[in-house]
Amino acid sequence: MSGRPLPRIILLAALMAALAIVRLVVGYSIGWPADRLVLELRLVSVFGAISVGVCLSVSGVMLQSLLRNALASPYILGLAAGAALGVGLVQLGVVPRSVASWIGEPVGAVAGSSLALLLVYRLSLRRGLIDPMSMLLVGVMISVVASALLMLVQFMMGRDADQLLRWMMGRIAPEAPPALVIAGCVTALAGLAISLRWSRALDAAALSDDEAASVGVNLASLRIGMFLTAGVLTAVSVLLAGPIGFVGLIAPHLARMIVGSRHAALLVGAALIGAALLLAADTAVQLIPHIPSIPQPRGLLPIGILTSAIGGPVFIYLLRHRQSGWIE
Amino acid sequence: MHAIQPVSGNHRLAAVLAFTMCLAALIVPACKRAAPAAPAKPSPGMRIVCLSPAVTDLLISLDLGDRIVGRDTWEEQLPDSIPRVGDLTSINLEAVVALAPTDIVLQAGKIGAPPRLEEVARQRGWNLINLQIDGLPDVQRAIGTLVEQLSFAEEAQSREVAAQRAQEFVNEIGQALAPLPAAVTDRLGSIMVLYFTDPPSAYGPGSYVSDILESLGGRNVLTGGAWQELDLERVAASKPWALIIAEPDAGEELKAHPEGALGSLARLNLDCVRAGRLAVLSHPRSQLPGASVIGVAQELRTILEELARKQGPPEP
Repeated sequence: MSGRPLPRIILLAALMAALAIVRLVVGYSIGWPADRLVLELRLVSVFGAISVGVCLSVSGVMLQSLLRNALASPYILGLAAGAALGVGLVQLGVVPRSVASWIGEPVGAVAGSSLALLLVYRLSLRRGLIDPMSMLLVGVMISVVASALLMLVQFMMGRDADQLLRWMMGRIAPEAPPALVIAGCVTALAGLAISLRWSRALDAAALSDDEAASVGVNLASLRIGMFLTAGVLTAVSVLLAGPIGFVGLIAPHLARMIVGSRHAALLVGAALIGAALLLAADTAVQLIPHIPSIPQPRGLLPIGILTSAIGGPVFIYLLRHRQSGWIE
Repeated sequence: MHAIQPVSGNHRLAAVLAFTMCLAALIVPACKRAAPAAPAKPSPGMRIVCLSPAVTDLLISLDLGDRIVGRDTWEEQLPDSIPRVGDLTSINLEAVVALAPTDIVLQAGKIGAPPRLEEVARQRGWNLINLQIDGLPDVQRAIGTLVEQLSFAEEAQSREVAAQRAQEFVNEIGQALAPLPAAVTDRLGSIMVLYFTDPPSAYGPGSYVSDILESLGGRNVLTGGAWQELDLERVAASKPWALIIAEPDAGEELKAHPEGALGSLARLNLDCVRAGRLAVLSHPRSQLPGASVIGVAQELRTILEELARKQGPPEP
């Protein structure tokens, strides 16, 4: 990491830490929780948001580099749609209830996203190499097919589809088992560490294939590694919070503009920004019920609605700057 | 296709601005007028958090509505002062903890209570009651279960009062569901009860409203599942003798001119509509299996009597 981005990364880390503390203070009531269980619930939310933010943004950076496409995001490869389909099939009862009761929806999510991952990988191979363009197109198609199957599942579920619809709106669940969130944190950190090991190769891979090969980068193994890591990180984020849009798309771009394009700094910066965005969104969701003067949603607003509603306009704002060299 | 390019230092300012905009859009408007919400002060006695609108309806009918301190996201009857604590898909456990309940009632049926809620309930000594209410028989069973299983924390007398009220309530349900006289039911044909008209969706056998209809001596024109989405062709092919359209809170105007509720079904020009065998079921909670059984049954009874009175014998 060069000297220049370091102060910015430290600032981003401080911002993320500050947001984590704010989230610990904001919940059903505002103030530091006196009840240990309430503190535990808020801690689960904080670590859940950080894990999901890191997973989405790191996989976003890897996929944008892998596909050399500024619009690539973890969801573009159909992994989220695959995960949602897996959860839908569990809820529909395709998996016998006796089995579903212990494997449950988490396994449905992981199985669905893994299957989508496998399909995208197999179908995008050209002469033994992952072809970025094929991967992008196959990913979009897998996403479309999985979404159609998901609609079929919803239709077959009839009035019982509510639970699936709610899950698809995305939510950082304080009631998630702490062990699951700890596992999510470990996976997110492992994903970040693995991607940092590849940061120099990623810098080279951002150039043309020939140039990357000329500096000794094994593109075939790098692409497989990045693809699998991005897939696992996306599956974990879906497992923890359902499909949450835009964070995986926006965090890498914001990081690129704040800390530069070198992947070592970019990955860390994106991870911090993704975590900060999720923490801010989760805090906002908790704050809304405390403002009686605004129209109140019934219950807590699903976080996915907030990230997409705000992420879209921010992305358009960023696009407006494309002539400046950010996106060609 | 957009390629990713190195960023010039000048535009990092734009990124910082965009990032700040993101965070500000998320947090600042909320912070401006945020007022701390004081957790509810626990009062002695039984404190119920009810995670089902249908069970809340039952609790109110058992005169236990004033014991509810937290309610489901979709509950409509209780005053605004009773906080919403989520539903089965997304329980706000922090809110539940703050309300210090003695009893948690939910309608999760065979799926079971969310594991984390079960765990916290065990830790805190909350009495967790899981009911299954799908059809009409479940309602009467649920009344008995509630009176038996609610904690009535140190209020034995309250349990007796509730048991007495439950018995009265069960008797009222029995009266409301008493079959119509044969002189009426013999003149009724097969009936379709719709809960949507666009797309046409109807109560099939096993649904709560169909159970009530059949208890009164009516016949559902449909076979198959409890809630059925139909198309116009299927509605026409089933040739209902009469149509009843559930329009919660329909006014007198719509009840007097039910053709206004037909929606796309008007295109079918059904025999039953031409013959005036069309009615609106206006009970506000006709889709909520619970205490509304009495009101729904009474309204359906009136509709069936009116249909029988107006029309001759059913077609063979």
